[in-house]
Amino acid sequence: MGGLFKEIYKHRTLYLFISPFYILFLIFSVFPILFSIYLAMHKWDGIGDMKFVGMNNFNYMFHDPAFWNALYNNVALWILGNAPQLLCALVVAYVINLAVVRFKGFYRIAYFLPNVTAMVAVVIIFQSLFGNEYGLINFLLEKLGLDKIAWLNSSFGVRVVIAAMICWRYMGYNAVIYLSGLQRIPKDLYEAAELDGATLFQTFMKITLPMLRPIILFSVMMSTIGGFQIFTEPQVLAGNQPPYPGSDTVVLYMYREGFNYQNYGYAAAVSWVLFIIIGLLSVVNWKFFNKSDD
Amino acid sequence: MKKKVWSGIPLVLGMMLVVTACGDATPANTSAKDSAASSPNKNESASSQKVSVNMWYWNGAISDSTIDAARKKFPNIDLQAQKLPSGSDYLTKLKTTVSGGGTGPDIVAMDSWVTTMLPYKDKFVNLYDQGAKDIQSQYLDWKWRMAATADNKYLIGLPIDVAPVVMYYRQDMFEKAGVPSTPEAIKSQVKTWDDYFNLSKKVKDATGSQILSIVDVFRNMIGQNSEGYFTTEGKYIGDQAHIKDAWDRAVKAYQSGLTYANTSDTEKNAAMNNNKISSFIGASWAVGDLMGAAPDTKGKWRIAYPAGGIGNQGGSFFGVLKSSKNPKEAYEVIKFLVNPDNLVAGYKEFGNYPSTPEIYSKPDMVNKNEFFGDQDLSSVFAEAAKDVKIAPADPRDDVVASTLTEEIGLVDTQKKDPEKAWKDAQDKIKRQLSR
Repeated sequence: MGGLFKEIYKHRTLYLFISPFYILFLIFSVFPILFSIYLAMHKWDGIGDMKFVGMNNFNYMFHDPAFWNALYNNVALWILGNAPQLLCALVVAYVINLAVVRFKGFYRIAYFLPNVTAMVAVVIIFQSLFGNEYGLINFLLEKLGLDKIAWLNSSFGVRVVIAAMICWRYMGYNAVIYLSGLQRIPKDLYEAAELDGATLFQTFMKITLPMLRPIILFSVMMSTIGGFQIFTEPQVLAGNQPPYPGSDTVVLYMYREGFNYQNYGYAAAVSWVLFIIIGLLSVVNWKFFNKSDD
Repeated sequence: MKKKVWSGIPLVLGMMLVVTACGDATPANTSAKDSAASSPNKNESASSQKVSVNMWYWNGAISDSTIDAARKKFPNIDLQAQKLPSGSDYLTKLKTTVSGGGTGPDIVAMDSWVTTMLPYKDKFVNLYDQGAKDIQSQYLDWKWRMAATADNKYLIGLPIDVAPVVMYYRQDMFEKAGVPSTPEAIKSQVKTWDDYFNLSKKVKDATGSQILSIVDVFRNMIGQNSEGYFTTEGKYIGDQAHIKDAWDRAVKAYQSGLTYANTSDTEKNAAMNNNKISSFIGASWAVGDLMGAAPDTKGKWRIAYPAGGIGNQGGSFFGVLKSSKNPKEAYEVIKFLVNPDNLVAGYKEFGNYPSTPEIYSKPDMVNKNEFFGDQDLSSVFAEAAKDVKIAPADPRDDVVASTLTEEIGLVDTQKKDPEKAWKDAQDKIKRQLSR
């Protein structure tokens, strides 16, 4: 340790030159992280005195049905929004990568485009698509002689709407990532398979999937992290009202506790639990996808 | 050559750091107009001993022309006005600044949550010490007392505007249904919520239109109460008769088919534009919302004294922080900003209804609006702004209100049993309050 500081001191001018980065990093990242640990054990309304409460915030959280409900919703949204989406992305990438498909660049851009649109705008568009009374989808259903569906009145309906937004937004993004993975797979493997008389399905299962494993791990991990941070969609969808049934996520719960109810200490505790959940899931993902490499 | 370029980079970065460090002393994000106006003054300030006063407000709290007028009126004060995002972000920023103890602004705009700041009154200048007693008589008493302690010895804010609650209704529909359809007739004949429900029933039968959702009806009734969710001592009373009555009556209105579906604002706006809504109770600021939401119904709306009694939903204040180095100058500025003439200007610009009753009858205040068939809106607001009873506010009100409205909303959207919803809401609230 002493040696390290000696090294740093020796190169102090260089460290001075890169100081803008690490000073800002210390102030805006390291300090808030440490402070939030401290905050998680206090009761604080943001203006009065902080009161030490130890583990009470965590105790309250684990006994709060609203927290478990938010976690359950989160898992449901994560599965509903990501499982079909990643599968579709893989198929889309595979199809674009086929030698017979032309204008690959066009498809890449077209599929990626939803990812660069502003999230709030997307939510507002989906809100008017799925509106209970004046939604475009209900309008079409009525034209077809079917009954209107009150999308935003049932938990399942709301989850479908939010999952649809997630799919729409991230399918292209993941497809482009898969595509880059596919293009890295050496052509000679496919040629050898073709010589051996393998079918398209067999090549996909025996060559494409195993070679793509690291990329799939990356996309599953990113969507796990993203899936547990779903916030904008339910927040904007509900507007000033409380979140629609089935759409109260952990981040939304944390935001409400912190910035609407002014329980800053409690919100910090929730954010740490969320951090641990995401960390655990990432480890599980990693283990799961790396297992057969050994 | 290459070496020279590289050694330049840390220099540039270092300079950026210096610049950002300086930024803390002066407001970093004044709007372009403000900084343009104030930058020449900054150079002078050293020589002519200009006093600098910083102000935080949000768009719509006070008009820009009034701020410019204040700059002209006080040439010795360098007024730096910072427009911040409104809503809960503003409150969070204010709270962290006040509790952080650093140099914050001198003047802060505060919304109707001003009452929840009273426990921290020592962070604010007592405006009575600055002579606020002299101007007290100009303002609505109930509004004034929102920013004063119970013993009326400490005042943390001067009133800007009020948001009286009125009834917005479709005159054509009311006429068709043969119910009272002039503002005067409605005021004299539709006094209670029951009268209003009976009237709405007739309007519904004649035109097929409804009033706004179960949640809106519940909220409006709560807004007219003189008791809130907590007593002034902080005891929870949100499970008692005055709240339960409102709950039951909102449920009854829903069950008799009077209320429109509990849905998003976009859908409600579409419903209003499509003649599905015959009336609703709303604050004075709903004028702008309604005109934007339902352009096709122009000329058909009117406003009247609200059924069930008057209420207030919003309206802001200006206070001075204790950390201010120039409280005297800051007080002079806010006193000027909220004087009756400037509040009239704000009313004309944004529709913020002034909190100074003496000007309500002035010809300047007449506000004939085509959207409302050239009705003079001001005279209705003036009646509705007087003698409002303000329920004691508590920082925990938001927890209670959002839990109750969420559960009563489920009575419509998920056909939840109203009694079960009431019980669930109370259980949730008690859990929240237990920690």
